[in-house]
Amino acid sequence: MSGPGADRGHRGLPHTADIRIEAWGPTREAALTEAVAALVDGFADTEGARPERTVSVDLAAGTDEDALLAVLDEVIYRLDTEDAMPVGATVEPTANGVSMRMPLVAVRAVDLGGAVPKAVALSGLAIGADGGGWRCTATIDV
Amino acid sequence: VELVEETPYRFRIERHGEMRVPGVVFASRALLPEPATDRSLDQVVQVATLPGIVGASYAMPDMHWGYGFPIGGVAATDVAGGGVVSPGGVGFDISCGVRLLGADLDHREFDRLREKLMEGLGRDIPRGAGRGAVWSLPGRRELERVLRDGSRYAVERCGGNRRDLDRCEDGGAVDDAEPERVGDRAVDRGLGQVGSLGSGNHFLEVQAVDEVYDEPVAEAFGLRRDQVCVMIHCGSRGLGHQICTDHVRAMDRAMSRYGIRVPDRQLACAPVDSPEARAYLGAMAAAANYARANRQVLGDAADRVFRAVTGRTLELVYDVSHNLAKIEEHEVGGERRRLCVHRKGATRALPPRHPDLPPDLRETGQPVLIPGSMGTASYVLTGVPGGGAFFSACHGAGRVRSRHQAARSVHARDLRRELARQGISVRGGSPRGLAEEAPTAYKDVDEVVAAAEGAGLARTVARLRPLGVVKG
Repeated sequence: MSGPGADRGHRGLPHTADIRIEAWGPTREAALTEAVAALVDGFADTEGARPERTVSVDLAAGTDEDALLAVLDEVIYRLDTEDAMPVGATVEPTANGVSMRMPLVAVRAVDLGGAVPKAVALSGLAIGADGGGWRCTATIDV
Repeated sequence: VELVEETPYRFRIERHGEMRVPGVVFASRALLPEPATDRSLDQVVQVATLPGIVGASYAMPDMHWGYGFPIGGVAATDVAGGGVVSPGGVGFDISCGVRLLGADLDHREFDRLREKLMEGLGRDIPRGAGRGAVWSLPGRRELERVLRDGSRYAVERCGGNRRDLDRCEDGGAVDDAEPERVGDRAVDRGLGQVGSLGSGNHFLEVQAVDEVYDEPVAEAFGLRRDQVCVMIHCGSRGLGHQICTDHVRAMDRAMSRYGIRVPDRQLACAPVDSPEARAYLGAMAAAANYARANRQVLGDAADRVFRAVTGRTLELVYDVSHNLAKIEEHEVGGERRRLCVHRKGATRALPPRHPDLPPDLRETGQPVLIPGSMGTASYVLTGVPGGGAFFSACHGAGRVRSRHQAARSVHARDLRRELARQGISVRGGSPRGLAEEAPTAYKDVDEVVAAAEGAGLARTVARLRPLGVVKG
């Protein structure tokens, strides 16, 4: 995790029952990449985890907000259906949204710390250009 | 937000701004949220702006900060008067709830069998992230039966008895489920999770009846002093979360067509008679059936462990949701009206002689199951005439500190040691997961229950103390 002053990074914000994440980067896709890292950091320690495979997925997104929801939703979906989570995902722009490349590790191979994310709320959802870069926030139900 | 104290357990927020009804908070002064860190009172105000809301925007004594609705919120809308349904008013974990089973076993006998029982429960109760469940469903067709018939189908396929259905809210299944309204992603997430606790604050706990406040009612419920019980807290897992996600977003897109504006997008809603609302209610009912089947299958798995280790059985006391919307009839302004009652982190609490009660509970009212935080007491209450908030009560202790704060200030090793000192065995749970659920992160459940009783929402029947916990 990088501090708020760095040109890209992410952090958790306080919320009574659930988890709020903030992520930023020089481009929209960098901020989205950091948001995925924030989501995973919120519940798992993936340091030193060796990915078993890598998947790429194209996600349709008409708006910046759709793109933020799509990348976070995808991580949650893989967790529930494949028992897998990304380490060091990268997000790239496409003609109709974004593509995400995810090196995946098995959940059982990772030290799961906190409560596992299950959904993304629309409350306080935000993404946009911020000074010279991009910034996003999301509330995650756990 | 300005609160007017009406009684020591009832505070009023007068209508202002775009509020259509006042706010009513059932709590003692000590239980009121701290505005600097918890914005749930603002959320009570925001809910009061929903189209068609009647009575008041209510909050229960365990209220805390959610998104859109407060957790511990109750709101009813008038179906014939343009009332809306809001998936956020049910919450992501549709029909999350509590199941309580009584064992034919005394807590002194438990001490002798503790290790074997906890080992068996730790082994046979699936928990944690992802897939892994008691019941492996082969495909969508089988899942559709679960979505349509809930516990009834689980009993038919996996075992159980008549009482499992009679003592479950709605007889084990709601009849208006529409599995075809459940999207593919929700189905994918639901296939591998029927019969699993999940994570977060979900658990299976072995408890002892510590105190009985009303013996005839406790006896009718199936509870007696010193008896061992099993309490299960979980919901509709990934399937329910995906259904809520899909329908909040659909309503978020559709709202402007109905001329609806909401102060928080998680309050996205649509008129109850609109196509969007019908789609949600059909899918929500399917998720409710999934949650009942989930708890039925887990209860049955716990029963098998009890039979194997003790030779005794578990019998259902009650199974009730605390995240649900229901179409119910209530009297408003001297008239009977059809209302869409949202309970988010609030338990339905039917009074004696309510027609929806099973015959053997007709004279006692509905059991209201209130789990405490890990290592603290849980309570069984019963519904009372009047009811206060469309027959609703609290649902737990209610969080006061964020997971982050709890994890930073509590050491799991100390917590485990303290629980062991109190004679509470813990199975499962990562160090951080345990710390996040530390009792210090929650309100005092004794105080919450006293406030619920003081406010006239329900009446205390029995207190249960923990003996062992399988942590989700």
